[in-house]
Amino acid sequence: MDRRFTRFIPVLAGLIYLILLSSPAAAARVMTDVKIIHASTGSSHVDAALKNIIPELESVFKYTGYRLINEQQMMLNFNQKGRISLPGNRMMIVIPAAMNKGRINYQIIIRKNDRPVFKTRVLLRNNSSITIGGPQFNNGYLLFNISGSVQ
Amino acid sequence: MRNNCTQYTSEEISRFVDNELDNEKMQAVKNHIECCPQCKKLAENYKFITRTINAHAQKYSAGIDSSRAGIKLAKALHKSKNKSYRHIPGFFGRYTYLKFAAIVLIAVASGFLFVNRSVVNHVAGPSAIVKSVDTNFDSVMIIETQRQKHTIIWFSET
Repeated sequence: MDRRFTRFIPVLAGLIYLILLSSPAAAARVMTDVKIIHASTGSSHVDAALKNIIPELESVFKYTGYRLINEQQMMLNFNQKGRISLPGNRMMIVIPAAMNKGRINYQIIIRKNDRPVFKTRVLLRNNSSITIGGPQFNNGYLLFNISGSVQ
Repeated sequence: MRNNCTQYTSEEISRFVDNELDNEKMQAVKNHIECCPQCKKLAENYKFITRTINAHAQKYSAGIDSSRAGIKLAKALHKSKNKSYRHIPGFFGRYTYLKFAAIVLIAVASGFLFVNRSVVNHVAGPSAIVKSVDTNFDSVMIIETQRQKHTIIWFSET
C-alpha cells in the first residue's frame, strides 16, 4: 500500500477515536455539584462562591443574605446514587438517569427523618443548574443549587 | 555475419573495428587480418556498415537545432507534468479514491461532532425542565428567572 496513505490511517483512526470519545453518548460520568445555601433576611452577607447564582435568586426572592453552608461535588455514573447530608436531619439523593438532547435526566429526592418528603424528576441542561428551596432552617430557608456536567 | 576462420570470432572482429579491444589484442587481430582474407573481408564489411550508419546519423542530425530541440523537450515535459496530478506529493497519487473516502469520513465525523456539541452547549429553554414533582406538602412553585431562565422549585414545609 502507498506509504503516504499508510501513514494517514493512524491519524484518521485517532481522529475518529477522539470524536467518539468526546461525544456525550460515549461519556459515562456526570459531575454533579450540590451547593447548600442558607438564605435569610437578617444578614446582608453574600458568599463570593455564589456570585454566579445570586443575581438569579435576588431577581425572585426578597432575602438579603446568602451563605454557602456546604458544597459537595460528586462524579457519578449514570443511574448511580449520590448522597448529600443536609441540615435538619435531612438527606438528598441525586441520580443522573440518562442524557437526552443535551439535557441530563436527574431524579432528586429529599428525605427528612428517613422519610421521603420531596421527589422530582428534571431534565437539567448540561453545564447548567437548578435550585430547589423551601425547608426552614435557622431563621431562614435552605436552598439547594444542583448543577450537572457530562464529562 | 559468420566467420569461417577459427582463430577469431566475428564478435572479436567487430570489436576490433570499433576499437573496443585492448592494445595487445588489437595488434594481434590487425596482424591476423593482414594475412587472413576471410577475416579481412569480414572487417571490411563491418567498417562499411559502421560508415553507412554514421553517414545517415550525421545527415539527420545536421538538420536539428539542438537548442530549439532542448526548449521543445522542456516544454513538453512541463506540459505533461501539468496534465498529471499524480506527481503532487501527499494527497493525489495512488489510492486517490481511498483518500477521498477518508476525507469524506472526516467531514461526516466532524459534522457529527459539531452538531452534537451544538446540541450540548446551546440547548434552548429553561435551565431545567421539571417533569414531575411528588411531595406531601401543599405548596409547590416552579419559577423561571427572566434573565438566565434559571429554574427554581420552591416547596413550603408548613
